[in-house]
Amino acid sequence: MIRKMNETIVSMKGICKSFPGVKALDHVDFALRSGEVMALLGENGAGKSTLMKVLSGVYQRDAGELEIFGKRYGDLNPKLAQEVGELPVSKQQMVEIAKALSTHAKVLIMDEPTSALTAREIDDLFRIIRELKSKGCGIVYISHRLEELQHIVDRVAIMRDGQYITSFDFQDASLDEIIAYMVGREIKEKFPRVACKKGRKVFEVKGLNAGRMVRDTDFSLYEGEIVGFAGLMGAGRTETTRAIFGVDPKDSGQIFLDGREVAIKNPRDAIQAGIVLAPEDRKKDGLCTKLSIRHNIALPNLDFLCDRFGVIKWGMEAEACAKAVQDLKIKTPSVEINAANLSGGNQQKVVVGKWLARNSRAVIFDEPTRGIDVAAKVEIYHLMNELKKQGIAVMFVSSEMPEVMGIADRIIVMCDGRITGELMAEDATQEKILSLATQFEKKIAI
Amino acid sequence: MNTKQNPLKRILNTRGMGGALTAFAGLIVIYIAFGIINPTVFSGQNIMNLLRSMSKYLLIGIGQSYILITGNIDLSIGSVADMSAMISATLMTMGVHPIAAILATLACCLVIGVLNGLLVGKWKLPPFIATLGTMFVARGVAYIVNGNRNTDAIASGIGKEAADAFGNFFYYGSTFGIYNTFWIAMALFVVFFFLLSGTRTGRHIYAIGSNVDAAKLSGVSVLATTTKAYLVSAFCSCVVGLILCGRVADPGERPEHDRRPGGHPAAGHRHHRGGRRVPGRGRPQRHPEKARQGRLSQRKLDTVRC
Repeated sequence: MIRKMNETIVSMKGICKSFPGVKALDHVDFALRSGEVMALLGENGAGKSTLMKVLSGVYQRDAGELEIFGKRYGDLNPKLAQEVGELPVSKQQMVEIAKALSTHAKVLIMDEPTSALTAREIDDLFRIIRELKSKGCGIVYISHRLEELQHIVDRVAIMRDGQYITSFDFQDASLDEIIAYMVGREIKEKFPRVACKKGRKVFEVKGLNAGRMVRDTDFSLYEGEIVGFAGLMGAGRTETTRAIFGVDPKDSGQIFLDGREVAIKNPRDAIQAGIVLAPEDRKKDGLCTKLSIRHNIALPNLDFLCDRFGVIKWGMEAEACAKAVQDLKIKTPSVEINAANLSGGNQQKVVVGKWLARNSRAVIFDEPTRGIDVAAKVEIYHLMNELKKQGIAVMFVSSEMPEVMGIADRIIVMCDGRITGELMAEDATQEKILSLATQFEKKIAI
Repeated sequence: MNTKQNPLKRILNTRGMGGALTAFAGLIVIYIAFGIINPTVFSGQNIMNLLRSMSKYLLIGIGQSYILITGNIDLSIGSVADMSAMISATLMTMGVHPIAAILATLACCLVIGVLNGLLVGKWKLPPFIATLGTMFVARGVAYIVNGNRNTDAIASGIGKEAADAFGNFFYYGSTFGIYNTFWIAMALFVVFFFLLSGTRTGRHIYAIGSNVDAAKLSGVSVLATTTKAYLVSAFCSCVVGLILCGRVADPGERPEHDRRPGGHPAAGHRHHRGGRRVPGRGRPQRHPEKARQGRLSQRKLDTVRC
């Protein structure tokens, strides 16, 4: 059925929603027309996901009106779910997308749909989105990857701190203006860089082999530098970090810290030696989402937060948590709430924060800025710079080339489980990195 | 921001408090309802008996909580309790000193705990399957140890005084007007509550239950933590077994209320020297009814499933 285009199909007025201690939505207005893709933008914790959960009927609103196709909906109407399709962030995203499409929803919400997709799959997704648009569907598109908006988005609505800020046609504003609306100020430095003198060698990996994805890996990290690891998806960077940290078994290889060899058989050995890893997938590997922020931050640090009988020193624990929350500007009413209730960016801050409470020699960040907003990204960069200034070796794995080039001092490129090259940041260009990242082994035809 | 809530509100906001309060309210309703039907329910002696019999479930609950929090299950607890009762009773009939018997029993039960921990934590067997297996192992051990003997004559093994002491400690004796069984359960509750909420081990147990991958990456040993949880469960089951055993340990003179069918199994034949008996041979003459009451047989154990 072809609907009339440009007719308002969703109208939300004065929506309010509070959670214990937080006002998540404060009189938010939102409208969606048929046949358009509306980007809903804002920092983590701005209330985008909450607003969409009110729309899809997952959350009950405290106040406000909701109309879909001119029909007013009361609270928690199960009909809502039939009208509104929702796409959650998940690993099997293509499957989720197919599932949502099969319901023939006329209003579709896509929350970070591309974060786990490959470039090809993203192309497919965009094609599908255009098709739906032409059929008169209204699509709400939530993403932190502002670069991809130009391909599909018609209009932009911006939220900040639970409030509706503005909305406009996408072509009427530049990306910088959009960012300025989102953070409420202009971000001066997207990639803050700190100059440090390169010092002693801190960390070295020699001849590391672990399965097919980590082969003959050698590299070193020095004081006063951030080493970026670039490469395509599946280049073996995450596998390398996991092998170093002792999560996955190593076939061979040595790891040296400050010149001494350290035997790492499991993550505990690594942590005790002074190597820590903030993993890529925060929901799966980074956080105990059903536990409080306090429990999460304390977990890897219980060795020094406990006395010799293993009894927790409450005072020290509270202090360490308060420090992490303050240093990383984690937005939360209290450290007692579940990690699951935090927004994505704040969850990522907890993952990072739990490692900074202890004195480590080498910190490995695996995709620390995935799915978080611009301001939170800059905070993570500042943090890496801080570690760099303290003489701690920083290994920074990222798939976003601009950020690797903007933050790292030296860039190691991997492809197909091997290190294929190394570049100093000042010499690096996207082309050079990409050509190293695609140096696949020559397969000999038999 | 709002850390200064009023204390009542804070207690109500504690995780799991809603469920606990609902269950407690249900308990009170049931208690009052049955009390109206039969006022004996309100009597002091009944409350005492209730506290004593619920202590076993409290203990089993402590152990099972640890296991459930780690995201596993333990089906072996009932059999471990049986095994504990059988081993301790049999050892004492054979004349082993009660303390030595308790220690030996504890060691056997903890072996099952370690076994469960290894099967689940190291060899990654589904806990349902693993503990179903150890359930049969524990039951088998109970049968073998007992060798089809009657274990109603603990006093004949270790002497009346020691048997009295054992029975009183675990079952018949009371302190401050409440049966010792309840105090034992409460003491262990306090210990294990602290272990769970105030120590590193407790945090690790919660962590692997919430997200085992994240816990591993935070340096938690899944094997050690799982094993510790299964050890706690086995320990609690062991104590329950000792309580079951204490009930048949020859207890000396009892107040009138305890001398009723089922309430005091050994009543009426405590001067009897049973000793080791092989079924069908040399069975001492006695009243068949009383003999049945006094015997801690497998059939009886099957009815005290926990």
